[in-house]
This record gives sequence, structure tokens and C-alpha cells, in this order.
Amino acid sequence: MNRNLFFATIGLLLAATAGWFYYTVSVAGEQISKLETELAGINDRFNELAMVSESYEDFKIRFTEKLESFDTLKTVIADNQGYASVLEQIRQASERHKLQIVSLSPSLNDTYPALFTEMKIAKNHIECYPVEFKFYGDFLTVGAFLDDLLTLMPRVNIANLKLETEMEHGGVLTCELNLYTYIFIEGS
Amino acid sequence: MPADEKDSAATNRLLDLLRSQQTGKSTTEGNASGTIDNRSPRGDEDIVQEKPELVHPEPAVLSSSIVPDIDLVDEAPSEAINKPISSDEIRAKLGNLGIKKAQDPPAPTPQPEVEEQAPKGTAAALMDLTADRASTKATDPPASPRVSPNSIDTDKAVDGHLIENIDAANFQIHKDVAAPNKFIDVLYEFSNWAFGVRRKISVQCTTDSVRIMKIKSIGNRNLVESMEEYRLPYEVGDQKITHRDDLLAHILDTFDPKLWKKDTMFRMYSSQIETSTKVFKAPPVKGKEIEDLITWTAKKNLPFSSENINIDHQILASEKGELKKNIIIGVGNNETITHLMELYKKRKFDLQNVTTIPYLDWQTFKHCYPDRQRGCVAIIHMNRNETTITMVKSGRMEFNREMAIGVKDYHKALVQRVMVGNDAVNITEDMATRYLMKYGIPVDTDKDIPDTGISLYKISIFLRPVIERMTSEINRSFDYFKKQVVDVECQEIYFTGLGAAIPNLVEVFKTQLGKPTEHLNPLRQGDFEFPEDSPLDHQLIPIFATNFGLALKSSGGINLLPAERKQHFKYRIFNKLALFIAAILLPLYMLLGYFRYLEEGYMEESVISMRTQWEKLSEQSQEYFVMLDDLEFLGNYWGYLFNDRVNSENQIKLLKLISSEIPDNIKITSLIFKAASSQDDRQVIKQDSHVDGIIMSGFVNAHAGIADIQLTNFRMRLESLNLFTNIKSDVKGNPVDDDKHLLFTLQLEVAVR
Repeated sequence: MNRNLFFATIGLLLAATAGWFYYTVSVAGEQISKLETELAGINDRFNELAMVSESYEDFKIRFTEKLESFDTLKTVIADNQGYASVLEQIRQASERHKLQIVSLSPSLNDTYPALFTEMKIAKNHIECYPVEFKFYGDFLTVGAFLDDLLTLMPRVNIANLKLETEMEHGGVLTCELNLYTYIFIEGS
Repeated sequence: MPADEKDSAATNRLLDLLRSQQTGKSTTEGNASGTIDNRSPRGDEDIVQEKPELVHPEPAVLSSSIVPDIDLVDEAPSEAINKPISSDEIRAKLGNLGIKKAQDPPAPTPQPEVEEQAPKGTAAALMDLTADRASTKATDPPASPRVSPNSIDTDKAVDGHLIENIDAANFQIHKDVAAPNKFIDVLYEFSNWAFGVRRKISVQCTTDSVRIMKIKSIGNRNLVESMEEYRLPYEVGDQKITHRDDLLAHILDTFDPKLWKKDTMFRMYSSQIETSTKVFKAPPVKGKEIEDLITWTAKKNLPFSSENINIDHQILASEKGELKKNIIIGVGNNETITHLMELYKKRKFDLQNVTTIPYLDWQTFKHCYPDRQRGCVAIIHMNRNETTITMVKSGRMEFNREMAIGVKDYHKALVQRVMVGNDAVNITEDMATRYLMKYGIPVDTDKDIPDTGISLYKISIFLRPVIERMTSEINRSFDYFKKQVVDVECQEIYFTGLGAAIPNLVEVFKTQLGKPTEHLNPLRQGDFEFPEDSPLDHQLIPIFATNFGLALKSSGGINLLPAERKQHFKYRIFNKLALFIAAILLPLYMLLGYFRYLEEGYMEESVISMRTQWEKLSEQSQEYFVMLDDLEFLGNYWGYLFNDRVNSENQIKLLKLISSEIPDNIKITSLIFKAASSQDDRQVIKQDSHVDGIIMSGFVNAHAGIADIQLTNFRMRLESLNLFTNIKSDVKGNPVDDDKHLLFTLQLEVAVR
């Protein structure tokens, strides 16, 4: 009987320990941690507010200027409709320098953090889409092409560059480019 | 010598002669030994006059003829023998622990209703083992208790002071025993609770009595609350209990379950159980082999059936360099043990241990005499029917033997017809018992027994043959042991058990055996305490020696209970500890959980409160923070774009720079820009750890001799640009069958400043 009672007590203890751990750490602990973070955020806001010396009107003017300044980007960065033209410009530049295009593969994933979801007043934002571009060429044409790419800024930026050649065929370069292309998104 | 004394002496000689004819032994041996001097003057009258207040007419048996036709025992007034005694009187006169208090003889009036009272008494009372005595009364009939309380009183107490028949110095606490430590006592109290030994009841069942010792644990010590003996036949109301199982059942029924069920340890020795204790030296084997060997040894030469037995063993520590192990085996008849166990179980008491006398004696010696563990000693436990001798060498039990001689032989020796003056006195068994316990083995043989005038010399003469026989048996045991263990001589002898309560017995055997002899003192290490308000009759200590031994913690080593029952108790400690931990942890968990719940509630309230406060802020203030956030997000977009542009420009610039620095004889076959940040996740990298890299592979178009130099020169030129924080070169040697090209790889680290 003592033996059964012993194992029953141990079982109860283990269950109680597990239950206590689950509640205090997993359930209540997580909830408290979440509440603490929220509370700390609210407190920070209050502290910031207390330290603000700029008047509301001045700040609003500054904010409007920043918005307008950001919106000027739509003049240099293509929107959804104009994005294909950016790719076309890359292709044309490579043709101009008589490069042999192996592949031009745009990605459809925005690599910028989705900050726009958190924005309340500002509606416009920028999305970044990488493009993998592989081609053959010689030293001179590749160099000239890369110079040409710089002229496409800020619509196109070079993310990464890889040049390779064969020992036996020193004049032929294999170039793999990772490019960043951008789309200006106008919110409604 | 007066004429009547001459007649008396002649009568005694005649009696001795008759007895010697019956037994075939000479009764003059005792005289010849010189220990008892028949011719020394005796002052019978002086004895009587010395303590006139102690003199009380005893139920003597008188006869005017040497061989009377009629036993004149009844000549004494029956009231003197079978004087009514109430339980209150017993309690008052005998009290706990056999305490004797002087008081007037109780009024013989019958008392109406008295609670059942366990007969308690002094050693003299407890030694009364006559077979045909009247039964012990549980209730209060004015009937005939077997021992006149008056005689006990006058024997043992004077003016409220106990007269000791056994010197109390034999049972003193050793001077080196440290005083109790209260802090350690608290720890022991916890241990007692955990092991369920806050109270102990040790039970010693003999053929005709049950001795109960009730003990309360105080730290590491035991407070003896009572020592009680229940004798057969035992009367409960109108019923007479004649069987010891029934008596034990009755005793257990009298225990208050509320008091004795919880945390009480019952340990028991019963002469009813056929037991055997063996010591043997086992070869150095382990596991199942040793188990088989123990079982085989246990069953070998067992004096009872080897079917249905319980075996327990204890492996003793080996001496240095000794390969063989000394193993003590206890064997007991399972049927009897189970039967006794059921008696306890039915009443929901926990019988935790049943063991054997040699083991108990050895453990008592081992525990109480830690300073005498060297050399060889003998422990002689004298019971009513038998005597057990246990040999202990270097603190280890080596040998034990049971001899078929016991206290009953001393009683029988005293049951004689004695001439006192011109009268013949029949010493009944009742008288024999009292004389034995009061006068023991008389040393001062000049005196007479006050009430009957029987010479103590005669008592000593009667006991002489038994002493001689026992001495012979003990010496035979010593000789046998000496043959078994060469060059080991028994150095000390300890007497215990019922026989050790006989006054002067130990002293007589000291002379007989020619070795240091003393009482086995279970109180020596201060393990037992007694209530301060009542004196202790030290004559009880050897009688209850088995009970004392059972109460010692160390005596649990050999347990003859069935294995499953032992396992039950094995789990008790774990169970209690688990319950103890659960009792601490469960409330703690609940408390901590509750605090966590409160904390969560408090936090929620705080957040709600802050949110409310935040909502109470003006629209402008709230809008301020919204704009502030939006500004930060827009700034981030600007930052990303700027970073991408700078990175792009830097790569082109570096490419141009490296192209301009490459000498003609060095050809680059691979150039890879590795950004510090991955392209996909764009994780933010701290400026101080932002290191872009360029991996450049190629070859030096020159002979091996100068290719190294040219590569080094190229590397130094790159270093001199101060753009690269670290340049690692890996020269891969020449291609196969080509010593004009030196292959290399350079790794350039570009840090952001």
C-alpha cells in the first residue's frame, strides 16, 4: 500500500510541477511579458511626450515636408506600370554593349521590411525586387555596361557582383549580377 | 549450638541426603566449594529484628513432621496469599516501571468498578512464573492475584524509597556519553516522523507472559513510558485468557488506536516463533550465488521444518585482509510469524520487526559498548526455559548456542521441604520465586528469611547444583568456541535476561567462571530515559532487556517478517518524504501560481489604466506620435535606398581600382563581391561589424622563382591603398606540368569607416 501511495504521490507531484510550470511560465509568463512590453511602450511614449519641445504646428509642417520629399521619389522610381521598362532598360544597356545575356530573372518578392503596414498617415512606400542577371562579355564591354548601370540609379542598384573567366580563354568573362530594382507604391 | 539448632541441622542433612538420592548428585558439593559456609554463625533473629517493619507474614508452609502426609500450605491464611487486589492498588503499589511506593496495605473491600489495568510490578512480581498460580486480574474482582501486594511492598519499598535488589551502578550511563543536543534532537524528531518511530512498542512474548514496553521518541533517545507484564492466565472480567495469542490480541485491543496507530513502531520477539540464528563465513562470491549459499546454510541443520520459513541476513564488515565474509542469518517459521502479524494487522498496528535473541543481544552490546569492541566477549541471555550464549569477537557476532537450562531450573531447585527448627517448611513455587528475586544466590548465608526462618544457607545449597550445571554448560560453550576460533579467549561475560535479575547471580558466576562478569547495560549510551518523578527498579532492566534491545534503532538488521511486509515498510520512508515534499510544494505551487495570477491581473490593470490615460491625451498628442512613427518609417525607406546606392557605387569603384592595380603578369580568373549582409533578409548589421569581402582568384604568369615575388608585390600594392583591413593570400602552387603559372586566391576585407 505504501508503495502504491508513494508512486501516486510522486505522480501527483510531477503533475503539479508540470501544471505549475505550464501556468507560471507558459501561460501567465507570456501574458505578463506581453503586458510588460506594452506597458513599457506606453511609458516611453509618455516620456517622449514630456520631452517634446517642438510645437505641434511646427512638427506638422516638418512632417508634411518629409512626406512631400518622399513622394518626389515617384519621379525617379518606377511604379507598377513602369517596372517592366526598368527591366527593358537593363536589357537594352546590355545589348548596347553587345553582351551575351544568359538569363535575366526578376524576383517577385519584396525584400524591404513591410514598414508600410505600420504607417498611419503616409500612404506611399517603396518596394525592392532583386533581379538575377547573368551574361558573357569581355573586360571592356562588361566594364562599360557596369558604368551604364550606374546611370540607372536609383531605379537599379548593384547588390552583388561576380566575375569569372577561364585560364585558357582569358578574354571571355562570365558575369553574374544581383541587382536591386524598385517600385514606388502609391497608397489609396 | 543449641539443641534445637542441632536438630534442625540434622534434619537438613537428612533432607539433602534424600534429595541427593533422588537426583543422583551429592549435595555436599556446594559446601566443598567453600563459597557457602554452613558453619558460619547466623543471626536469624537479628535479621528479623533489623527490619521489623519489613516483616510480613508470608504464606509459609509448615509441617511438624519430616515427611508429612498432608501439605500444609493452606495453613497460612488464604487472605495472605490470595489477598484481593484492585487494579488501582496495583497501579498505586506497582506503578509504571515497577515503581514501588510504600503505603498501607489496601483495604480488602471489593471495589465496584475499576478500569482494566495492565499488571505492572517490580521485578519480584514479574518473576513469579509459577505454573499453577492464580490468574492475573484485569478487572477488579477481590480475587486472588498470585502475588501479595503487601509482600511486594515490604520487600521493595521503605518509606517511599525503593530498595534495590540489583545495584543501580550496573545500569548507569557511561561518563563519556555527551549530553543531548537540542538542535540535533530536532533533526532526529524529523527523522522519527519520517521513519514512523515517534512512538515505539516493543513486545516480548514468553511462554507464560507478554512484556510490553511503551516508548516515546525524544530526539535520538527513548522515553520509557511504561514497562508492563501481562501473565497467563489473565482474567478479563469473567473470562480467563489462557493462551498467549489471545492475551496478545487482548493487549493490542487495549491500545488506543488513535494514539498508537500513527507513527508507532511495533517490534517483537516471541519464544513462540521457531527461530534460528547462524553465523557463517562465506567465500567471496556475489549476487545469486551468495543468495543461494545463504538459503542453503539457513536450511541446513535447522532445528525445525525448513518449509515455509523466512530468512534474513546481514553481511558484516570484513576485517582487514579477510577474504571471507561473516554473515549472520536469521531464520523464522513463517506460519507463526504470519499468524502473529495478522494479530497486529487486524487492529491496524504495524508490526515492523520480528527478530532473534542472539541478534538483539549482539546489537545491544554493539550499540551500548562501543569502547569495548576489541577482544572477545560472551553475552549470556538467561530466559525462563533456556539460556542463549552469544560470542562476540572484535565487535562481530561469531557464534551462538542455546542451552536447555534457565530460570525455571532455579525455581525448581528451591521448591524443597526445609526444616526450620522442629518444623518442616514446604517452599512453594510462589515462595521460591519471591526468595529467588529477593535474595537471589545468597552470599551472606548467615541470615535467615525473616518470615519463615528458612536459612539463606539452605537456599544457597539448593541453588548450587543448578549453578554448577550452568557453569559447566557455559564452559563447554567456551571450549567449543575456542576450538572453532583458535587463540581467542573469552575476556568478559555479560549477563542479561530474566536470570540476570536474580540478585548476586552475576557475582556468583564471576567467581565460578573466573572471568570479569557484569550485567549487560542497555542504558549505557543514554538511549533510554525514564520519568523523573518516579524511581526506577533496576531489577526490571535485565527482565526487559529484550524490549530494550528491540527499541534500539540498530536492532532492525535481521527482520524475519515476510519480504513483502518488509517492502511495505521500506517504502514508508519514501512515501512519507514524498508526502512531506508534496505538502511543501503543492501549497507553494498554489501560492506562486496565485501570485502570478495576481501579478498578471495587476499588469493588465496597469496596461488598461495607461491605455485609458493615453486615450485621454489630446488628439494632437496622439497624432504627434503617429506622425513621429511615420517619419521614422519613411526615414528607413530613405536609408535603405541610400545604402543600396552606396553599396552599388562602392562595388564599381573597387572594381575599377583593382583593375587599375593589377600588373600585366597577373591574371584574374574570378572576382566575387561578398556583402556582409545577406541579400535576402537584409538584417541590420552594426557598423563596427560590417565587413564586405572580395574574393579574388587568378594566377601569376611567371616562373616559380619570381612569381611569388610578383604576387607579394601585388599584395603590398593593395595594402598600400588603405582600403582593405585584412588581406589573406592563399598560394595554390603551379598547375600540373606547368611551372610558368602560380595559382593564388586573395581574400580582401573591406571595412566600412
